[in-house]
Amino acid sequence: MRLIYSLILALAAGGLLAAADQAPVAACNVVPGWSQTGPDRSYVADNLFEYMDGNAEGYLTYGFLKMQGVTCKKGDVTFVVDLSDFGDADSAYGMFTSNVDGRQPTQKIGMQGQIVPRRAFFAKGRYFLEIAANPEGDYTPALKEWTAAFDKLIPGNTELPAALTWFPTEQRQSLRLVPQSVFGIRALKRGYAAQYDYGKAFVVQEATPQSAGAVMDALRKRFGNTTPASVADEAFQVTDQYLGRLCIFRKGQFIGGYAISQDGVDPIALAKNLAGKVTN
Amino acid sequence: MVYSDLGKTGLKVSRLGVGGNAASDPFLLDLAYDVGVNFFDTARTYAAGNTERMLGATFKDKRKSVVIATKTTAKTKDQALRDLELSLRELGSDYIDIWHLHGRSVPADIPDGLFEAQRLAKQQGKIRFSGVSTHLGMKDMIRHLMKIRRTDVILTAYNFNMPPEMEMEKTLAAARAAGIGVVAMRTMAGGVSGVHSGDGIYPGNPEALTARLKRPGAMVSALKWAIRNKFVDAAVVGVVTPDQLTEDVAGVSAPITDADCKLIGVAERAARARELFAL
Repeated sequence: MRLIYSLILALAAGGLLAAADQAPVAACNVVPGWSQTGPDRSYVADNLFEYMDGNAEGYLTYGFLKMQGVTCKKGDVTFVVDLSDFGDADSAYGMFTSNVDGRQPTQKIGMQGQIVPRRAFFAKGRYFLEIAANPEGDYTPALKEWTAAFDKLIPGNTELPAALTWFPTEQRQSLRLVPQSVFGIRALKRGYAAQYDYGKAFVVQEATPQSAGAVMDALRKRFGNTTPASVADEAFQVTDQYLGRLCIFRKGQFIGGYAISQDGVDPIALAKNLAGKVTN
Repeated sequence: MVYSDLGKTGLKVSRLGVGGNAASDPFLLDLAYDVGVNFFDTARTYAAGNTERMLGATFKDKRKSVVIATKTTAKTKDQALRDLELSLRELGSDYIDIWHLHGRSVPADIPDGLFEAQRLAKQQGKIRFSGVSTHLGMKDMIRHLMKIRRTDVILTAYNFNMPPEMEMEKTLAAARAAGIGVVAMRTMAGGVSGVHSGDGIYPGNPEALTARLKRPGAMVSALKWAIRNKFVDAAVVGVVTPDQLTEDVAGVSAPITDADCKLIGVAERAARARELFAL
């Protein structure tokens, strides 16, 4: 009886989640009254470019694996719904941070989401869901309904990555996952970077304290005239023509720091504060 | 830095343009500007408008000394004009130097209404020049644009991995002769992390191409291969580190060599490569 009940529920959900171990599928009947127009879309990294031209790069840099989408219609309105799998929650959230408009509020949908009049997107677990509405208009109520429906059906973590809580919020303009070369430095492969009114901050996680130490050595070599600073396990300060006054520290396997462009702001004090929050 | 006249636009652009989705940090744009890059390329859709915003914020105080291109994927005149207003707002500018119709592969991708949108925008002073970007079906698309004469600049995929039967050299020469500015993109054939298969731009074996691109110096050689073509006014590349930028700047200022051709596996075409070298 229970099995039959589950089956009915799955069918009612438009087959969106046939079983817990199956990937979610975007479908138009997750919200009543909508029907699919045109065929299903399905892309992998090799051919995403055919769907979205140069914009595909933005997905690929965050480790995009595959996308499945449908176009849904109700009256004259169409919603283009695309569900992408990024392999892990960190990458899916990274994709969210690259898309979010820092001037607009975000919503608690999945890990985090944003709804603007013609677009909605959110990250949950390893998935990134986006909906684009046409024609011109304010579709906020419908987009809320859709994102709520998908939030229920997409499995995965709803907790924000812990690193996000480490960065101070005051005077912060943006916070995002940089998929490669944080601060434009090749040795800092991937990590979170925040832009502030007075400069910017970052945290990168290495595999081990030893490998993080090797990156610190590489950074000292890259910048040249560094001066030791007393922050966490090891730290240095240096001035760079483009990045400004830097203080970079290592705490265990984490490397973090600040680049300050405004006079009167102390990168060492900020770095100490950030290091104090970094935890495994 | 070496500069080119961009077709008949009168714009003088650095042969190295910086753009795409890759630029992750505004300081790299500042750095590019400081080393002489004055040509920056973005699109309405890149990072949901965040790259336009970053570009606008970076160059708000030196708008007149940079050439900014952006693009719209709109399918109708009204959509395009709405996109244009958004682009202007995000870029913080009252004009766009080059406004491309984004990613058009066949003539049917550009209904008359889109050309009309470009004409109107130009008339209103919101754009200076009209453009079309194309990644697929370049030969037919570019020839179509030459025929209808409504496009000032083309942004086209062009790289060493394109086989001769695509007739890119001949097509770009014809475009240039027609006074259209020619900007190359995808010069690195998608890059190590982005080699795609089956889309007609990167024919052959993706693994083999990736292996070639991973050879030290191959990316710059690929850029040199594209820019050696005297019918290419500039090449737009994505930059994520200052080192890359330095290498690319040096690359567009130096002639391609046999070693470059060998590195990217086009040694047999080295002679032709030199023949087309313009500097």
